[in-house]
Amino acid sequence: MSHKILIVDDSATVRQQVGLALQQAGFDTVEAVDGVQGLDAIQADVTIAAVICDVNMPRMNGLDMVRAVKAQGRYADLPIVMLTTEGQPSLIREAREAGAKGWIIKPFKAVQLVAAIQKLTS
Amino acid sequence: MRGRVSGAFEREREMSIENQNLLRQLCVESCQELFEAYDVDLVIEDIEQPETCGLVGFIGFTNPELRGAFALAIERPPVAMGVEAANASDWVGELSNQLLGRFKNKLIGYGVILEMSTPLAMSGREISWITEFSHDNTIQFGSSNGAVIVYTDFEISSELELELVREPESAAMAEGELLFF
Repeated sequence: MSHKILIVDDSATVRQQVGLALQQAGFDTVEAVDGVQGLDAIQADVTIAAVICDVNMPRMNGLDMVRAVKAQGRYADLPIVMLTTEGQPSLIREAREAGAKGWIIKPFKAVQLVAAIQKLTS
Repeated sequence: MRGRVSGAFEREREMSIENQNLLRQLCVESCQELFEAYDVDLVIEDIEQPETCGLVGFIGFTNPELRGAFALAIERPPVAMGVEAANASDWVGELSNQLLGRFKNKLIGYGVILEMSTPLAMSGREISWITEFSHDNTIQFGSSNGAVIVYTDFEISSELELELVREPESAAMAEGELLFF
């Protein structure tokens, strides 16, 4: 059975690119446009196996979404990887402390992204 | 070293030549590296009259000592991962986001950390800059993918001196890098 991956990014183009890379590798994907929608999607679908999440988004940013997700104990094991233009060490530290599992700087390489998700869902 | 916050901001034309040249150079490098990641080589062109473009992404940034915005105008969006973007306006907005991300990551080496806004985008026909207002802060590139123009708007604290405190590659993660926690 293929794993379902949630892609949270306010850019439709990034969602398209990430979705394409993951679907070609055999994953199912679902999308959300910001942290609020991402949080709703996680709570509504227990089959989501991993999350790829932008940082800078309207309404709720990615770091706040990770904190909100991880504040609910039942998602302690849900792997979340941040995919962002940000390379600022303090933000990376915040993500790690919030419970994210990885950090990728855009533009991403499809092979690298897929390998990361395969590792986290295996 | 980083300057104090003075409250006195200088527009791009009034800032020191050193700061002006450095910010421009970081912007040029950021733009060239970004497009290279999408297999598009950019070459700086002299500007008499900037090319007109149909897609423009805007993004702002702020810091107690440096604030401003970039506008990234392109004739055609680069193809990424072999697929044309379904929404060209969204794509140019995301490219402006990635451009500022690179610029921000370079500035971290100078001890300046910017807060980024979320990007905006617009599409139209023959969008052009008015050169008498923007010539000094417009960078035009030629490429196999058409013209790429970056308009920069900087306001900088009069007391900020931009000096390299750490090599950017050791100060911030590089683009394309993956880090597992």
